[in-house]
Formats: sequence, C-alpha cells, structure tokens
Amino acid sequence: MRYLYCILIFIVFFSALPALAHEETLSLVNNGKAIELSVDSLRAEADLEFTLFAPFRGQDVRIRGLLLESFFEKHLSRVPERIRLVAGDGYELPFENWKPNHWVLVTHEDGVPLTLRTQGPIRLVERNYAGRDPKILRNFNDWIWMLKRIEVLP
Amino acid sequence: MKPQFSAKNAWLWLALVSTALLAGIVSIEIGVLHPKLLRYFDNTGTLTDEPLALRSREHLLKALSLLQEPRPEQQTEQAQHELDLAYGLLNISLYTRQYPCTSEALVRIDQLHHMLQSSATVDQAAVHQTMLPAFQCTNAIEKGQNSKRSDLAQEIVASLDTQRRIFLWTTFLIVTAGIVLFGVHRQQLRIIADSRRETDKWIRHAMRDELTGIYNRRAFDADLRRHLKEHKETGKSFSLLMCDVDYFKQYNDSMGHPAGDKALQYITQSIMKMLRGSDSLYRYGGEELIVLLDNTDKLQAQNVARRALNQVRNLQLPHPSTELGYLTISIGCASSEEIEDCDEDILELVDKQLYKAKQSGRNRLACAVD
Repeated sequence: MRYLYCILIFIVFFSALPALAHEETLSLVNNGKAIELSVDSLRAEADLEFTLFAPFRGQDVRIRGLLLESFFEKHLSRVPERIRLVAGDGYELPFENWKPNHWVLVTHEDGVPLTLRTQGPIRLVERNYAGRDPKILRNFNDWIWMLKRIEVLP
Repeated sequence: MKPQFSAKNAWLWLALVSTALLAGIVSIEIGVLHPKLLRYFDNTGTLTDEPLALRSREHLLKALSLLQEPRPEQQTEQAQHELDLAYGLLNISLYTRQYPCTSEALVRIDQLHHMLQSSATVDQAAVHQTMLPAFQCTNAIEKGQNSKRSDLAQEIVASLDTQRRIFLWTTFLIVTAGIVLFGVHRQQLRIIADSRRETDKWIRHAMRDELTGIYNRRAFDADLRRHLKEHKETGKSFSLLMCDVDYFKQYNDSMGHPAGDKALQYITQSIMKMLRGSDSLYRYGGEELIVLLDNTDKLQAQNVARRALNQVRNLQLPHPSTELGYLTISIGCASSEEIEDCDEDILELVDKQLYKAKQSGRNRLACAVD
C-alpha cells in the first residue's frame, strides 16, 4: 500500500510539472535577482477598476489592474525611479521618473483576463491621456503589451 | 511732459513689430508642424516603430520555421506561443476596422493553433495553406499603412511648401511695405525740413530791421516779455538802454534822408561792436534804438551806456545844425531791479529817463536813480 501511495504521489508530482512549467509569470528583477510572479496572483491582486477609451480597441473598455507603484510596494517594499520593461516579443523600454498614480498594470479587460491574444497577460497603460488624441496610436508609444519582465535599474 | 515721437523711435518700432511678426509666423509653423513630424517620423525604438502587422508576420514566420519536421513537442509549444504573439499584434481595432482581411487572418491563426493542439503531427502543406491568407493579410496591411504614411508625407511636404510660400510672401510684403514707408517718411521729412527752413527765414525777416540789419520792435517786444518772465521766476536781472539820435530831424533836413539812413547804420554798427553776445540791439522807432543787456544790473548798464555815448561821439559824424558839429545820442537807462519796488512798467521808466536826458541838454545819460 505504501508503495502504491508513493507511486501515486510520483505520478501526481510529475504530471503537475508541465502545468507549472506553463504557468504564466512576470519576472521582477532586482539587484540581479529574479522573482517569478504568477500572473494569476497578479490578477487576484488587481484592485483598481476604471473605464477608458482603449486606443487599440477603438472603444471604451472596463479596465482592471493595479497601480505600478502599488505593485512595487507589495513586491519590493519600495518604489524604484528607474526601471526597464521587457515585453514577450522582445520589445524593451527604459522607464524613468514615471508619474505616480498614473501607470496601471492591466490584468483584465471588461472582466476577462488578458492573454497574449489580447495584448496581455499583463499590459502597462495610463489612467488618462492628458489631452492626447486617443485615435492617434502613436501617442501611446509608452504602453507595453505582453509584459514579461520588469527590471529595476540602479 | 509730452512724449517725444521721433522718426528714429518709429523705425525702431516698425522693425521690432516686423521681426516679431516674422518670428510669430515661424514659431506657429514650427509649432504646428514639429509635433506632426515627430508623431509620424520619430518613432524609433517605440511601440509603433515598425508596423504591428510586420511584427506579427515575423512571429508567424518564426512559428512556421518551428513547425518544420521533425520537431520535438517543446518546439510545437514554442510555435503556439509565436502564433499567440502574432495574433495579439494583429488583433487591434485599427486593422480589424480598416482591413477586412484581418478577421480572416485571425481565424486562420486560431485554426493552426487548434490543429497543433489536437494533433502531434501536422501536414506542412496544410500549415502553409492555412497560413497563406494570414501572410497575405499582413502584407496588405503593411502596404496599406505604408501607403497612408506616404500620403501623409506628401501632405506634409505640400503643407511645408504652402507655409514656405506664405512665409516668403509675408516677408516680401513686410520688406516692400517697409521700403515704401521709408520712402514716404523721407519725402515727408524733406518737405517738413524745407517748410521749417522757409518759416525760419520768414521769422528772421520779420524780426529784423531792413535798414540797419538789427532786430526790430517786434523782436524787442518778444524778448522783453521773455526777460520779464525770467526775472519774475528766477530773479535774473536785465537792463534797458533807450537811445535817441539828437537832432536827427535837422540832420535829415540838412544832410538828406540817405545820409540819415547811413548815419543810423554807422551808429547801430558802432553800438553793436561794444555789446556782448548775450546783449541785443533793436530799432524801436525812427531814430530810437534799445539795448537789452542780459544779466546786467544798474551800475553795469550805466557803464555800457557811457561807452555807447563815447562810441557815437567818436564816430564824429558831421552835423552842421548842432553846437558840437557832430552827431550825438541821448540815453535813458532802467534796470529790472528798479521795477521791483514800484508798479511802473520798465519801458515807461526807461522812456522817462530818455526824456530826462533830452530835457537836460542831450548827449548824455539819465538813469532812474543816480
């Protein structure tokens, strides 16, 4: 019987490994050390909700996510001034002196969790456009889709 | 105090206004055009640096290369990941609304994704056939976006050309207007200067005695008013010497009027010679002359008067009808300080003194207080 349990545990553990390997994560790199944060946990942390016109959707959408500084406070206990954002498709953007209470890590759109197909699973957007025309997509070049890694810069 | 409007200031303001106008036009042009240029042509390293459709195609190509046989399972997962990225980059409203092929391309990507999920082996021909419309669509989108960008570039170039023309014409008009105004202004200055010269000439003529060339009574009245005012305001002193040629009627009768005129000229010239630059000599009446001595008190005035008497005597102009046998003058003297204590007019005062000099034998000086 004991052997049977061991075999069962072995089967369960190894069958769960691929699932763990496929779990979507966001890397947070600080002082050369990377913390892998589960996207699901970030979705659960999302506590900010608002509606805005999504330029790349061409319509109003209900956004759910968490403020960038809240994310840092929770996972680093400090808010860095300089960071680098890396997207899943290799797009990188250094980010300095960013405005507080303005940048949001989006996890849901209209209540649906974001995926790669909807420019997720994590996307960085602004809370308002400060007079910019949302119909001109080039006005939103600082937005990061498919966010994969956040590096804290010295 | 009334502000002075000089031609120099006017031109300075005109130049400033013109420069400000030009600077305004240039800054408006830059202000309008610069953000537009930046928006469309300065996207290096940004989200919209490359068309999203092009980036989507790159992921599709990666997916296809990963699907080459034989392939391990891990490679299939990677290909699915690439397909998802391609899907995400194509799945934006701009493309779905403006390029009808986008929806079909997304469906095809989705189909391939499902094919890979459901079967371990996928026929290469089926993969290519499924993905062909997606590739064609990304090409069409890229072409369409490039065409839009090209149209926009042409529009900006045309707008630049129009603005350049406006700028050149405005500059030309401002410069032309400046030159015309400058010409008109110079012409007006010439007219004003000519008119002023003419007026000055007439004023000079109006203030001079034609025979002797010295100032006339009109000039004396004006100068006396000025001196009285100055004396009242600042206390500055002045004196008057009223001179009259003795027995001049007899001189004219015996020597003739031309000789009388000549004698008057000699007398005025001799008195003029002994005066300072600030003093003035006037022909007040026929043979009556007045000397206005600026900044001169009573004693100094008496000295001047005595010298004048001697000057005329020394001319030795023959006058057969007098005891002495030559022309002399009588002088009455009055100073501004003498009118301070009485209400009498200085002109009346000096006239009285002249009368006194005449009455007491002529060829002499009489002053208010001797």
